[in-house]
Amino acid sequence: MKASMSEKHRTKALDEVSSFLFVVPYLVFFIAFALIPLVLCLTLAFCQWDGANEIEWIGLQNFKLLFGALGTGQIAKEFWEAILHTLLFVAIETPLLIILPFAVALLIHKCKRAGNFFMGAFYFPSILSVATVCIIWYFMFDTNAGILNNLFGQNIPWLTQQPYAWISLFILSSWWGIGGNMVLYLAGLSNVPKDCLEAAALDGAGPWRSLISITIPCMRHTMIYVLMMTTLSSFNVFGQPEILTAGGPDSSTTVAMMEIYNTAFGGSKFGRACAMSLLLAIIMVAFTITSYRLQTKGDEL
Amino acid sequence: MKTLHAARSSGALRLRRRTVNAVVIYCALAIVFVIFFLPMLWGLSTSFKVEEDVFLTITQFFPRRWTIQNYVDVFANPYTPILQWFFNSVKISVTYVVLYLLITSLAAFGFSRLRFRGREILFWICMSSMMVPGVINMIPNYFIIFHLGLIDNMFAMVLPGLSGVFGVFMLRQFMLGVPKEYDDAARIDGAGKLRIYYSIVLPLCLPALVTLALFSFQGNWNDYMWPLMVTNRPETRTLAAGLSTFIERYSHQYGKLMAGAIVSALPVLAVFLLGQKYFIRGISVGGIKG
Repeated sequence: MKASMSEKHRTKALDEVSSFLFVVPYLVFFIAFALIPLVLCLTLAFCQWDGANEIEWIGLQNFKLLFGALGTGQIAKEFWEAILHTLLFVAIETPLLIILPFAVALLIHKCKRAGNFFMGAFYFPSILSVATVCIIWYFMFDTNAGILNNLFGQNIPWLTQQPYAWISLFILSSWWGIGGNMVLYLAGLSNVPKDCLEAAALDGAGPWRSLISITIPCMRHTMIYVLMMTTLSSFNVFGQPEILTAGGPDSSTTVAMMEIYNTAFGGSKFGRACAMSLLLAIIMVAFTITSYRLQTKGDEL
Repeated sequence: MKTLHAARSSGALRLRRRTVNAVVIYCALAIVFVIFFLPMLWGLSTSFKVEEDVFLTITQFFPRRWTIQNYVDVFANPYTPILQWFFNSVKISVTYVVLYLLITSLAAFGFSRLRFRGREILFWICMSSMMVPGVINMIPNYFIIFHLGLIDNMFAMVLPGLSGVFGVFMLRQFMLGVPKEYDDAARIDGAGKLRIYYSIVLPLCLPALVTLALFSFQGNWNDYMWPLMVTNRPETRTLAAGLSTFIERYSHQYGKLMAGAIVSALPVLAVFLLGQKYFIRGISVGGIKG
């Protein structure tokens, strides 16, 4: 009797181990490329490392440099300017990518026959790589040979003068990003209860009224999701300014990710770059949590 | 009689208003469509123009003289081994997608249908990594890849991406929806866990697997910053990373630039057309439930 009990116990333990084995392959990669990097980033932020030689612990020196308490303050100035540029991008691009896809999604939702065709067509640019998109628009924006200037008979230096450089980046990023958010909105729109809309129409609500009082409140969750994802991806902006404007003119479109990348791979200051990415991450998390709080507070009211 | 007439005319009015509405909507969509596709179509036509004609005939859509010289030049230039990049990208993305689907589906199976101590806490630890911005991992991952001696190696562009938790989350959600009775029936018939995994749960998860495959393929294929970091030699780059050096290389030779852009867009277009249904369904499933 006792033997069979311990036998049972052992088979159960074996069963647990074999179950655990299923998640092991993933956990290996998770630990190696997500957990350890997190710890490493926190450590390297307090170190000096040029990418080849010994790693040296230098305490808060990286942060002192970044806050301008040490050195000439040039590094701090460049870093915070880059952060400001990222924030500018987030502040303008996020609303664009919230509103424009919604408008397109509303049109497609109303359109009964060719809806699927238009949905596929508008979604397509968002699956292209940023390099492809930038090359195409680099041509569009050319001052002399570009379509934009030639179609409208203008002579605007799109990529080499502010504020046009920013406007170009916003046009390109909107063109690239509309599709993804539009599909999310379309999914949300198809979940808006039809009887509510019909009841509203019977009560004499016009299209505007039912959009504002029924459709938008019903899509609250989709909108929160779109807002969060768009904000996060806008914070990570890198490819567009890197390829299209190369951070120029006069590093006025150098964003935070570029500054981090250049510090690490251009200047071989990996420790400082880690400190920078830590600061950027803190700003991102703070931003996300605040916007989420504001959104959910709006829900309760 | 009068009311009947009024009803009929209001019906006709409504019908007419509906047609007007439809026309307005279609017109609006068509305008947006043209604006949206102008850049791509113009790029396509420019890629077939003779280089001198590009500047002369900017506002002419169709090339005056048709040529495929731009494509030939781009393919033949040793500094832009676009064919090599293409094969690198295919090799890397396919390897990545196969490995990612394998390990995430195994993990999702474990997290959704098997029991072991600490399962919930492990799952939530993995999930919480979604909150950590990607910037944090970038430089340490370079450090790790560097120490593994994988610079300029294709696995540098495969391995770090395997830690993404989204696939585990998505497949687990899907597997939770597969009735447990199937497993029990198979177990009574003597099937082991591995057997249940590959002959029952995996086939039932096929739609989710296809969607995840498309997304992870797209993400890996288009990734551009990471391949640029871990490759030094041009011939080890991926298409997206290599293409980003195109503007430096061909500066104002727009015919060649556009040829490069078109070549890079075609495979994505093919994958998109094949899997459009899954793409669009997937993004909405992953989005709303996420």
